[in-house]
Amino acid sequence: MSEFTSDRDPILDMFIFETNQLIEQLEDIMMEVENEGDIPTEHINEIFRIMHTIKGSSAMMSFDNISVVAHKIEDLFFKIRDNNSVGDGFQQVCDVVFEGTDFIKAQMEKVEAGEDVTETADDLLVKIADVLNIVDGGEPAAAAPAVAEGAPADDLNVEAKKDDIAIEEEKDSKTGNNKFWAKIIFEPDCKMEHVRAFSVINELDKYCSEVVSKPKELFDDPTSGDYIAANGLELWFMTGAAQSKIERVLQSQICVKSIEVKPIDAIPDGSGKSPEDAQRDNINKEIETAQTAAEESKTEASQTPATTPAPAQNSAPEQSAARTQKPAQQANAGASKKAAANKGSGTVKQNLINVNVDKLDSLLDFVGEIVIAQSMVIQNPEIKGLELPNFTKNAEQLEKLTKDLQDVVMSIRMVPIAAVFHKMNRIVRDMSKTLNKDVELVISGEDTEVDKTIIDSLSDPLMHMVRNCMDHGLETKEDRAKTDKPAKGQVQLRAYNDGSNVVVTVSDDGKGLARDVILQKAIENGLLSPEDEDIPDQKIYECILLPGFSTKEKVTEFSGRGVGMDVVKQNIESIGGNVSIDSKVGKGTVFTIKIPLTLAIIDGMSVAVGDNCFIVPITAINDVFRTRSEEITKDPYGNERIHLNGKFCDVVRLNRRYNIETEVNDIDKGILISVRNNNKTICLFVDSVIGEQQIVIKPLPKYLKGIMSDRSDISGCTILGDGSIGFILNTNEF
Amino acid sequence: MSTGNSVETLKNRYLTFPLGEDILAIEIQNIVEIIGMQTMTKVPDAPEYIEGVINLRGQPVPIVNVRNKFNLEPIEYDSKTSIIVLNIEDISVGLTVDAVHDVVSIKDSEMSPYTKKGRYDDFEYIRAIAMVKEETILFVDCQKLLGIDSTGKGDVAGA
Repeated sequence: MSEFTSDRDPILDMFIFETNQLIEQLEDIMMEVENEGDIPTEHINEIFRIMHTIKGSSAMMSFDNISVVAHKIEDLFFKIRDNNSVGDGFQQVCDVVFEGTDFIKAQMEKVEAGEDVTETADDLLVKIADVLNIVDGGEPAAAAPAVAEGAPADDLNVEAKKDDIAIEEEKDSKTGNNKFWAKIIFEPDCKMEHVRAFSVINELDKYCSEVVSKPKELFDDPTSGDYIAANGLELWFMTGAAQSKIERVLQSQICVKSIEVKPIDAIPDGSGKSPEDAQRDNINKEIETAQTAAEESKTEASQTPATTPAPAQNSAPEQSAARTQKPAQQANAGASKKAAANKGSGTVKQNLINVNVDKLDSLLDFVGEIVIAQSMVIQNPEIKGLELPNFTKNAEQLEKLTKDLQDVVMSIRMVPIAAVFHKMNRIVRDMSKTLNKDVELVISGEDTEVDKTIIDSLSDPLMHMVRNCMDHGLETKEDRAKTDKPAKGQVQLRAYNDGSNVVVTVSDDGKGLARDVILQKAIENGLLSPEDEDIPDQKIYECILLPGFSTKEKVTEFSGRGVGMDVVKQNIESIGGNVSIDSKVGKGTVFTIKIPLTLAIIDGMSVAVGDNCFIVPITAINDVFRTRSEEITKDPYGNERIHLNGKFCDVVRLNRRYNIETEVNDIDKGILISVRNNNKTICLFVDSVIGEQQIVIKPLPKYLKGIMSDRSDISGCTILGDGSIGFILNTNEF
Repeated sequence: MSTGNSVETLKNRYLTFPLGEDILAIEIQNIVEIIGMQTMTKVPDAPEYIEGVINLRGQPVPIVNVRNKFNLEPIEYDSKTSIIVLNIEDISVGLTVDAVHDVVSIKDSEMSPYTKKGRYDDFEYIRAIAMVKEETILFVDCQKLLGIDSTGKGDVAGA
């Protein structure tokens, strides 16, 4: 995704971010609602609000199909709120909301991929209308939309939401004849002022019978955006709503910096002619007053409960730039009840910000550069061997600070695994319905933090494993009843820290893997040979992670096609992790994933071979030692082995493996490093050990990757202290 | 790296450099910069034409020896030896050349296709030939030279 973000319009970026977050939140709420079998009022309001926000923002971005669906669900929840009950339609409401979120999610994926988003959801709209009827106890459907028209009005005002009088008032608001003039100043740099103006007018239209704006033509006149940016948007309108109400509505619009509303006697001619000269003078005067009063009105606005708080003290122009993104973020943060409460009280500061991952990536790059630059200075050949006590002391201080800085940057990139775990709720729900299995998902350790890049590649494997547990692992209701296990099946997600790794387990209490069936299938497919009598169970189980392997006779919607589990292995290995499986017949299956905490910086031991320098990750190293030639045994093929801890280990001479000329050819002269190679131990023979240091991992240059695509034993490279380049070894690929 | 406008101005402009007895040219559009000889790290077990990797402001950039690609004997590096850093299809590669000459402007219409087998066995690396200021210039097809296809990967061809 990140490759798109840089090219994308920042407003679109913000829209995608917000909407995805809202949808996730909505799903969480719905999962909870469905589990409890009841929708509490606060959730109704919450869902209503989320849908309203999505409706508004997607309409602004002209994703009309998303907007329509959101609008209809919003209508539905307006009705539910109005009736204060879902009637007989609880399950239908849940289903239709899930379907709606699915649709929006699918559309959002298209938006992110830069595809056209035009697919309509006519079936879904009909379904929502049906559910609306059910909720309403069979009342004629035609009545509902009319009521719902006025609904969006108060969504941002939590208090008014529960206030029936307010709703009544809005119904009449269109027909009243209070006349107002309003001036709206948008945030500087908010961009697309004319579009924002359009959405403001659109919103206002819901309460007003007549709206005249200056500038008149928002879209046909190319200068309108600039005009609004410079002079603000002026509106004249007639409404039944009170001034305070209108102020609230205007203030709640995205990117609005300040507003001013005044009652007037007449609305200027809306026929397309510009207002009269006299009026012009008036307006100019009002602009002046508006500008001087801007400070004041902002203060007022921020005190109005539940409106976007325009920072009262914050009028200095140099500060405004920093705030350009704020309203959007607040609108999104406002999704949480806590934030909404903060807004109301106005005393608690928002202490979270959203940052583009690209920025974090470049921050990390810079820290990497600093680490390299630092070692270039401190290990500079020109000062080698010099007695520099002060320099050494300061250098140590610098090293400590750099390390701290690096830790902070890494910690910024760490996100809790919770979001990925919670996605699984939805899968378990859907599958338990389709498969007719009663299953609960138990989650623990969701606070465990993992690097952002790793989280992204964790989602798919987890999904496949959960699906596998649901489909293959757990028994059908009938089969389960025959065992002494509880009727409700269990799928468990667990995460915890283990040294520099994070361990994630997915387990079920189902029937376990059928060792013999898998073994037979593996032999059929030629994955294992029948002679291998005593293959460890683990090895057999791991066959199900190989491409095209499925023992399921019938292909279901969810699994059995033989794709899926191989994705698990691939994805996990691509982020430097590994998967193992354990299973007991009748007890269940456990998938264990081990992934590194972070990918960017590792501790490595640099070793010299000829003119080259290689990095061996510290985590792979068992031991570093010298040995004598007599310890090495040779077989007829010239393969060398060494006897270590009761086992023979292969000795790999790096100079021979990589065709490097070196003067160190005698085993006695060089150094052996015993490293893990999957489940074995092997020994690498190198000329000498240079030292242990932090290594900033850089991917191999693309061109080299293409040429050396068969060399998976070199996983990346790094810039060394002297500016030369070291190659990072992946000892599992030897 | 460049806006639409500057792409226009870069078009039809070529950097010329000597190779043996000939003068070769590379489209300026593909060139990031020209630098002097750098400390080079050998790439373990890479094909011979990969001279090594250099550290270009913190980024590792692989270096291809042009003489080797055209089956010419290697020569000693001197002060004229240069590295032309290219960026093609988002792939960074450097070329070591004996020296760099000049930047010339020439339209496609002034070039003739280079079809006859010339001095080089690997004439497919040369896509056109033209006379500029009474010199014969051979135009290099960088994508073919480096084996970069549109999928954005270098290949093993010519190894």
